[in-house]
Amino acid sequence: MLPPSPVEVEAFVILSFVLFVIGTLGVILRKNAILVFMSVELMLNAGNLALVAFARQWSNIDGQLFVFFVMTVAAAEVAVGLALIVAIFRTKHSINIDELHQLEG
Amino acid sequence: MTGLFIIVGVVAVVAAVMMLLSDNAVHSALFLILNFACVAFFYLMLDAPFLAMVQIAVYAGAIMVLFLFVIMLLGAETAESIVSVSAGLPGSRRYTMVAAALALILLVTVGFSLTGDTIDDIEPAANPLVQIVHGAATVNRADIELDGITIAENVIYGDVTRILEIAPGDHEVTVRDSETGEVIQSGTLAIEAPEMPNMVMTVLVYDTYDTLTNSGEATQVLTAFEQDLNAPTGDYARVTVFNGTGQPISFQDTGVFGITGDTAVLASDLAPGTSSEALLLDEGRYRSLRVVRPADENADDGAGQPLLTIPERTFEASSVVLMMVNAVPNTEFPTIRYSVTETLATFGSPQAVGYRLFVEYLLPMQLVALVLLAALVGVIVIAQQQVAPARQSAARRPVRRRVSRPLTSVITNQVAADAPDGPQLTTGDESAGD
Repeated sequence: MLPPSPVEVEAFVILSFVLFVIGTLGVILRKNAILVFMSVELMLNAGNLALVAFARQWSNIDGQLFVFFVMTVAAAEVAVGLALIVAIFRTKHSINIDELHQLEG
Repeated sequence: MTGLFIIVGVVAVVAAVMMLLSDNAVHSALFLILNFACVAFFYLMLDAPFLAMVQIAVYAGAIMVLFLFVIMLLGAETAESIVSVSAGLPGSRRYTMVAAALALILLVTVGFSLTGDTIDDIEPAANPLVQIVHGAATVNRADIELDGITIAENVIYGDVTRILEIAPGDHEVTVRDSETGEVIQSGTLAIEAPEMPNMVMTVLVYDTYDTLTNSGEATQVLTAFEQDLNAPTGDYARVTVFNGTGQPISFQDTGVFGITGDTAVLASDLAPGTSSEALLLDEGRYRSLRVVRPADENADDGAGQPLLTIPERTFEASSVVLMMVNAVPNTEFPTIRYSVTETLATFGSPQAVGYRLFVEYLLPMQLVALVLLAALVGVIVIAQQQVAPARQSAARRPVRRRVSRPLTSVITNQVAADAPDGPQLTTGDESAGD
């Protein structure tokens, strides 16, 4: 068990909530596929921050390990996602997500 | 600390909002890097230094560079501006209402969960940590078993096993002589989760004798006590004294010069078979440590007969040392043996994260590695599909190239290219000179 954090862990959770909401707004409002992607990264980071805060609260390092895994998967996801964006740009000459609706039912 | 949190928190939120509002995608990416740096700072505040460094290296370094690269590559800096929420698909006003209701529910839920019972009230259950020290002078090498499983072989006198995490409850510890294989001592110890954070239960086997003068055959005794194995911060060594003699002892430091009043009693009146509190000693060489009778504990150097003047010993900073004062047969004067134990990895340090990763999470880590491998293959496949048309045109090019060009024209063009001031020949075929 660690001594209590000098800053309340709740403050970190609230901050991560705020960052998550901003990221969500980015996903909803932006039309640029790259910016949507960056907003998703922001949401992942907000989740990571909450996980680290809870790991600190419980003195349990498992939360930090989950952040480690999330980071790894996020790195893979970014590589694939950006490759897809480049591929789409090559064929459609646009990355505006409103113009990408081939899969629309 | 709180002020720092507020400042960096505001910077993080402002950076996130600016990322959202910037028209230029490059600016957005740079604001996101600032936000990631702030989050790395929060990781440091939350005792996760390793993750903070990974955050900087992987997120702010690798991932964001990839983003910036793609933005520059596509020239997508100003691909769009924000459209207002209301303008959009037909019927979006209805969706807006639904979204607003959902957002309200989320806010209320989070508000209730944050203002409700604090999570401080719940005590997490921790498993006790245990290490076993071989402190029996009459046994050369020992094999140590815990619950019938051999955890260490050929442990020499004064050495210690590594720290093990075990379930609370009764555990059977067996110590065997490595040479003869016979059981020296076996016993069941009740090991409970420690009250204090990150304390380690040290199980010690040591020699005892019949009388105060230590005559007769040695018998080995198992004992257990809590020891603080956290590496001390600063230039200190954490020293614990264990009394393995048959008489109460005191432990004193007579100071550098042995002047009256310079004597410090480090541990007073230790009963046989007990350990002292953890002593924080300044790092460095010590020549003035003595083991004395409790009656003489305030005596200076020279006064009283010390049971043992401890030979010169250097204590290194951030080390944890168990000092075993052991009985010597047929004399009341003891001897000393040091056991330098490993220290517990600091919370959030690379050692702690790596240990947990390889002990508890090996399979998930392998799976994540597989995911990374699959992503790598996927990216290569996607890139291959793009390269394919370009390669076809590259294959066609030699057909169009004029092959039957007179050699002289190549040479003259080459000369012209090497000496720009020379006579310029036909410039219609510039590529020939390259």
